[in-house]
Amino acid sequence: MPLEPRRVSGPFARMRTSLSWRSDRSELWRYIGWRLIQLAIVLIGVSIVVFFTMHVLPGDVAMLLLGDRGTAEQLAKLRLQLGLDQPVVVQYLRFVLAAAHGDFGTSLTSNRAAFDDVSTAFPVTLQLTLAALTIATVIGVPTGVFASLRPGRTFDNLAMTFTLFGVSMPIFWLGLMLLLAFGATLDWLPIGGLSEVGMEPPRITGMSLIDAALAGSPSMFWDALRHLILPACTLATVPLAFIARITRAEMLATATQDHVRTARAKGLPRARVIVGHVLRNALIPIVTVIGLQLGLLLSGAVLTETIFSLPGLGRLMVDSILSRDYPVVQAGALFIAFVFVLVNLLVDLSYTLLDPRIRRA
Amino acid sequence: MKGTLLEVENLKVTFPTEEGPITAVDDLSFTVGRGETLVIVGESGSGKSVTSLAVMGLIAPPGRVEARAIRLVGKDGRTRDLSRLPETEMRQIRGAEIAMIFQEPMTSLNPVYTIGEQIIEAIRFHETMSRRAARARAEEMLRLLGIPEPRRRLDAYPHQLSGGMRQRAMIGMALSCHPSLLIADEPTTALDVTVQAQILELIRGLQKDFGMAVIFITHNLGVAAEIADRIMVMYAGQVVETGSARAIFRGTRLPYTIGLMRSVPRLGLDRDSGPLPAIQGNVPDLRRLPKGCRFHPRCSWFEPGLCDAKLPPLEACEEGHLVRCLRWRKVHA
Ligand SMILES: Nc1ncnc2c1ncn2[C@@H]1O[C@H](COP(=O)(O)OP(=O)(O)OP(=O)(O)O)[C@@H](O)[C@H]1O
Ligand code: SF4
Ligand SMILES: [Mg+2]
Repeated sequence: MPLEPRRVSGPFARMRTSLSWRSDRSELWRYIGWRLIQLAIVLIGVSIVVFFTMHVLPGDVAMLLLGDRGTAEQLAKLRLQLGLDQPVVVQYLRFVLAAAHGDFGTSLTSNRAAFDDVSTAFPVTLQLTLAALTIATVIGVPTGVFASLRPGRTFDNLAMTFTLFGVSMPIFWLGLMLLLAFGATLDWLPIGGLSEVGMEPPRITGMSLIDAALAGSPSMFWDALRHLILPACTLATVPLAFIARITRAEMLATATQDHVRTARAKGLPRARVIVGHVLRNALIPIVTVIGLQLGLLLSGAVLTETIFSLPGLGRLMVDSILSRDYPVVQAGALFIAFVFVLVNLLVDLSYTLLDPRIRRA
Repeated sequence: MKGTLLEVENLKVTFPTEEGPITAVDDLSFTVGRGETLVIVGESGSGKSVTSLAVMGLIAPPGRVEARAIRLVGKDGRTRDLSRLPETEMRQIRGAEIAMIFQEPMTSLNPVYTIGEQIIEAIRFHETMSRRAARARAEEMLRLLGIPEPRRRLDAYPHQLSGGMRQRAMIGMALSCHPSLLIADEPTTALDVTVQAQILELIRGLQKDFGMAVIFITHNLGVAAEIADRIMVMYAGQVVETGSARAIFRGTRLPYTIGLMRSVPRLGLDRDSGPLPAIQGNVPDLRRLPKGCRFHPRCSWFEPGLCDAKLPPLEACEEGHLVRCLRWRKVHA
């Protein structure tokens, strides 16, 4: 699967070419500063979209809030209260100001602060995503490396066939099959949820594995882990296949580069050449792909969360959209945008660690 | 000459292609004496790089290397046949007995490691030595190569150095384990003329200091004239002329070499004197070699019925000077 290493444009590209070994630091900070400004711009954009989408929906917010119960008088009063009589721009500015303080209003379904709903659900998604990405990386990278060592041979062919299925796997179907096989039929693993009733660790981070570990309870940890296995494996499938294929392609491409020949000409052992020179250089695009997958998984875990009844962000969003719980949708959308941009920033920064010249000439 | 260092006998390198195997190096034999400089000259595609990679044991499959022998006298005085050496032993030879530098100093160094890391890696693999001692040796090498502020340059990445500095670092890395043979595959081609001259000068100086033999690959006879003790001219995978530099520059008897000499760029030549007179025609496709003399379609001494009928053997036109031409007696520069 040919996938080009991501091209980075903008000031980063300039930094990449102009980096000299003394100005590394200050350039880096300037770059981070620029990216934070970008982050703000993205958030403003998303907030505009989110705000106005809610406003073009049929029926106004006051009607939504009151539902069928409201009298005309109550409606008018609430409109005034919410500032719905003000010009749209003023309403938007109020919305942004409140949002900046984490105030998105109250959820129409849970009656809690909308942002609390989001921040409760997020750790569930984060834990699932990190677990899936860890599985995908730990299996995907070595698979790609070994496949690249003898291209066209048995292992390579097997790996490439499986990963071809993997990248095009319908997650929903796979999740159901795993659930049926290991959960329902074999009864080895739980079929959903975060933990058994009575085994919930006290909430600290909101990630069940970490909370169980912090609670110092092996049985809770084991229970949380058992609940994580099936959803994490389901969510890991596509990125695993993708990472394996990218790794193989990058390894093969790097292995023919001149500096690898130099490394061999120095008399280095094969393993050292493969790990220290081929894999080390191939890591740059591989890490990019892994980072991009992180962003995709965070926002794309919704199917997995639905199948395995996990109270994560994806499911919260779907539920909120279906029930028109607009404060939660707004809070969730802004939060996801925030995390997505932040993850991308971290990926780009990892470049500077992995690639001293930062850009191939 | 203090005896032979490297002796290559009947080397043949083939690569499979879609249209059948091609023979990139065909029945090649040559020797290099201790401390001697052998220059291999030839146009692009004549098999110079493949020859040197074969000696290093770096031809990757599906390429095939066959040789009656590739004998190297080691630093320990033992003679080994590199063509039959297991890979683990061959590794001890690479870098330590034979080192190699490449044409493109930009791409031939690993961009993600500092110069120091790359030199130290080479040293520490071949010699048991602390990191600190290896670093001191690396710094010393850079100093020897005329790199200013060597200590600071050890921590520089390749992209932070100029082409000339990178090539010096490459040479430093190659020489850091004091090899007895350095193979330099067009080390100056990518550099501009003044830097080229400096690097050549440097290699010559180091060669004396280290008592090291050099196989220097170039397609520029002008460079060959600067440093060669002996010259081997290659064409389409074969040796077509070998002899002392003096013999060849005084009186080559080979039309191909005459053509190469005419196309040598000379310093100080007027820009508007036009492009250099390259040898007309192209290097033959190894899959469709001309019958008889491989050079005949481009040769101005070509004699129909003779040159296109029989592959010329290597013949001595004088003591120690071999040419592959059926009409060498009639050929003059
Ligand atoms: N790995 C390979 N697979 C197939 N053919 C190859 C391979 N390596 C070299 N060749 C062929 O062998 C021939 C000799 O190549 P070689 O690189 O030795 O030329 P050269 O004399 O070094 O030329 P240059 O001056 O361009 O470096 C060329 O025709 C080349 O196409
Ligand atoms: S053998 Fe004939 S064609 Fe070949 S170089 Fe000599 S004169 Fe030219
Ligand atoms: Mg070459």
